[in-house]
Amino acid sequence: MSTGPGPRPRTVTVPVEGELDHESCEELVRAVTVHLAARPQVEVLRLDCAGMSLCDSMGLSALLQIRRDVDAAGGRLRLDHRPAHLERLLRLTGTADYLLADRPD
Amino acid sequence: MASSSSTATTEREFLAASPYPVVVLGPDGELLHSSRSARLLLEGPATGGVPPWLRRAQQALADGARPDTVRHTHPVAGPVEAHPVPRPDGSTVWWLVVPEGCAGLLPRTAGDGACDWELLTRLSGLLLSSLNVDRILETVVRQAALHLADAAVVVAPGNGRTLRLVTCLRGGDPAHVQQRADPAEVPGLAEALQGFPPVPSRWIDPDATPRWLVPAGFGRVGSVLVTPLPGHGVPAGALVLLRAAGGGPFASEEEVFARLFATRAGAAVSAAVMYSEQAAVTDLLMRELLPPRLEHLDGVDYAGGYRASVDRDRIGGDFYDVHPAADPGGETLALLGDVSGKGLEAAVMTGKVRNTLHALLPLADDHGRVLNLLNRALLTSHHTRFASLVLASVRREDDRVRVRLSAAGHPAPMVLRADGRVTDSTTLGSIVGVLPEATTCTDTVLLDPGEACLLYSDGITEAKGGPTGREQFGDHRLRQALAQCAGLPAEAIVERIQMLAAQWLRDGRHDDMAVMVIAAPPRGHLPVVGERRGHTT
Repeated sequence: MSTGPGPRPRTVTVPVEGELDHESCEELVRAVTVHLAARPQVEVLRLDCAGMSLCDSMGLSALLQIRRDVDAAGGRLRLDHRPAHLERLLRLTGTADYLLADRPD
Repeated sequence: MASSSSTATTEREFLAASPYPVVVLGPDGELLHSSRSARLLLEGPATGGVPPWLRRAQQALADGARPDTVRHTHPVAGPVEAHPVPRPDGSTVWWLVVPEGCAGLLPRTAGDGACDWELLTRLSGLLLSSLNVDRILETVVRQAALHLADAAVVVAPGNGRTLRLVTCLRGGDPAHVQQRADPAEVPGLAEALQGFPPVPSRWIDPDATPRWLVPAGFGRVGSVLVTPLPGHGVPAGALVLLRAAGGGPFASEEEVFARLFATRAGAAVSAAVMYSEQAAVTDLLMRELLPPRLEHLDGVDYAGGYRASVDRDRIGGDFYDVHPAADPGGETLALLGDVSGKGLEAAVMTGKVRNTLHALLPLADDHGRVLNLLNRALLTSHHTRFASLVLASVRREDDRVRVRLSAAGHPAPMVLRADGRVTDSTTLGSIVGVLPEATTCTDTVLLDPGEACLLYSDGITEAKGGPTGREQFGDHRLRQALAQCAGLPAEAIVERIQMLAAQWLRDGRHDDMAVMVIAAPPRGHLPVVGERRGHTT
């Protein structure tokens, strides 16, 4: 959770555990959708990737979908504790800048 | 006398009440006693109480055969075992062992009082045993004729004004008929085909039944029952039950049972129809997606290999293509890519990518522009599926081959030098179809004679197997494998990589795996007669 001066940003953290692949990606997107719907005032959605053991192309597709959903809800997406394999995937696919950038205004 | 008669009565009553099917046959196979459950089991078309297989077994015993278990497959109950116990008076007690769950519950006609759930369950199981529409329709009429009526007909909507009929007489084999006929001639049939509830049987005049509906060999119709086969959204057809004259009308319990049976049958038929339509669509799409045969083109060797995922639900979207140069001396565009996800949606996107790239060929000088236009063509707000690919513009220059490589979110191609060194191309770019802009940086590679460039999908490097069965094949093993291919022709490199990946996998599940090799023919290579060459030396 981020702390600091001024009002604390309203933050939700969703852990991503295990393999993010064609079997698990829908579940993650759904979980995020539920969070966004339940807390319309959320400003920052954090995906904690520390426990992510694998991310395949469907997993990446899910992250891109989540980015779109968070943008549409007016929030910001953060991918925390990115393992090396995820960094590599984001770099290879040229999606790092898009996924990690602040929302374009 | 009195005592003997009383014994016989006791035995008859005792056997009749036996919870297990049992019959007592005389030496010549005549029926002496039987339990109610056995009568239900043995009664069938034209058997006279004792089915031929049991009568034969009894005669064999009478002829001196050793009493042994006889096995028979009952059309409804399934496998039946008959265990003989010979008695001193020459008669034999036959204990019948039926599969669990159907002892004593095999009525000739259903709806005898309360609904026979066990029969309904058994029939449902039979209906679900196939996804072939014709087989299911045959099961429907066969079982309906056996349990619900004397003959059954399924009427399915055909093409235009024809009707598809599947008919069956009790105990007979189903027949398929195409009939030009008006369903309105049968009261309730046109309505049933539109999914309206059945008309009570007693309202239908059996003598008004048109001959085209009655199976050949069926006599005068005594009563008719028309029931819709409800499908998914649209009715799958109608079930018509016919009872011979003198057989009495359908009881209301029987109509209810027929309706329940028809509901199950309709669901099974429409599932099969949907399955066969889907299978046809998948086959059509996959046929379109088959990669082309690659060979020698404009002085450059191409070879490709594609191993589709064995799992039907994992059919993915790997693809490759080679588009020859439009003009002599122009660049050939080779490409290999992968669409995220599996199944039909991935297949559709693959087709889109390949067609769009084909249309963009005239712009292939500028890979960045091609990828951006492709990106825009694929971009949609509906989903975040994407494609990754490598573009390779290839031209022979003297005896060398110049390859301009642009990756779009795809593993960079590997380059195999003549001395066995393997280097990675430096091209790097973003995936297409989901980001606002696509970016790439192009890398140019010069291949000397005998050198090659390997394009591959991540199905190869992510193939799980090895000693633990869970380890990925990985870049480093691919690099090692490629290093051992120095000097081999393009075709042989592809085969070797595919073989090593297959050995790594053993029997493991895998995604699509695609590889393509672009190679500069070795010096002294004799061009195939009739080949087109860009530059000749």
